[in-house]
Amino acid sequence: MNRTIRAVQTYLVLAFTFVIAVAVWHSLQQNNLGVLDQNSIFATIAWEILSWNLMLWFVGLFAFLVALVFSSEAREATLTRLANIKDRDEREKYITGRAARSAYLSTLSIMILLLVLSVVNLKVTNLPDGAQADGKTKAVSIGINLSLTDDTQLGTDKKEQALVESKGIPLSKTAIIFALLTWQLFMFNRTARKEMLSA
Amino acid sequence: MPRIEAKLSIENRLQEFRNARSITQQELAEAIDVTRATVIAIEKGNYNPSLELAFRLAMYFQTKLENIFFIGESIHE
Repeated sequence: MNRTIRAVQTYLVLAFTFVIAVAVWHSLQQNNLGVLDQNSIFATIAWEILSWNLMLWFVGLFAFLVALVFSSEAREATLTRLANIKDRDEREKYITGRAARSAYLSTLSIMILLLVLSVVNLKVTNLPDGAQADGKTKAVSIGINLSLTDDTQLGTDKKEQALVESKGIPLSKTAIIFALLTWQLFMFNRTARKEMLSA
Repeated sequence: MPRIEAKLSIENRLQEFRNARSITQQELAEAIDVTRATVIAIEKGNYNPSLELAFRLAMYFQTKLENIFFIGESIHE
């Protein structure tokens, strides 16, 4: 199992250059900047090989990511290096534990903040002429929108002119996941370094 | 029964024992299977070793545990 994972990992790293190559080639073709004659035998064969490699690379990547989720061996072999985890003796294991605790708690606090931001709706509007009362021209509405799917359509009153409107988090799902990953790695390494220096 | 404080100041004579044997931190680290940084941290009092590692140190220096490690602070009753 471990040997297979290592082989897939090596292939993913080595073949990545060819994945980039095929992307660059495709981009050049689209912009009519091709340096190779597309009808030549060399170009046809090269394109075929690169295309097969691309497909194989993505299959390998998917298999590798699934293995990371389900296999503790794969995680140990890969993520310890990525996260810069050192546990050669009990003191380093202690530091790793402290850093993991710190990264976990700080990520948890960010996720709680993101959850609250994603359910709270805030809207400041100019009231239409007929709806004004006691000389008040603006209205603030605060709501909670707890939905497990992403298809909720909030109704808007056409007469009201929104001055400030906040509906959930103004970030894409990819950006949120990327930010959380980066934050967790940063916090782990920062705390580990701090603990290493103090101990 | 006396009340023991949760945080005790544990001190050690590791450096004295090591100097008496004329061995380097690296040699000691290799002998007890830890990194040199761990030996430095223990000597400086920045890291308290586990009971197992403390016994390994005592066995290495062929002495009792309490000869190397001792409590620096008083126990409050």
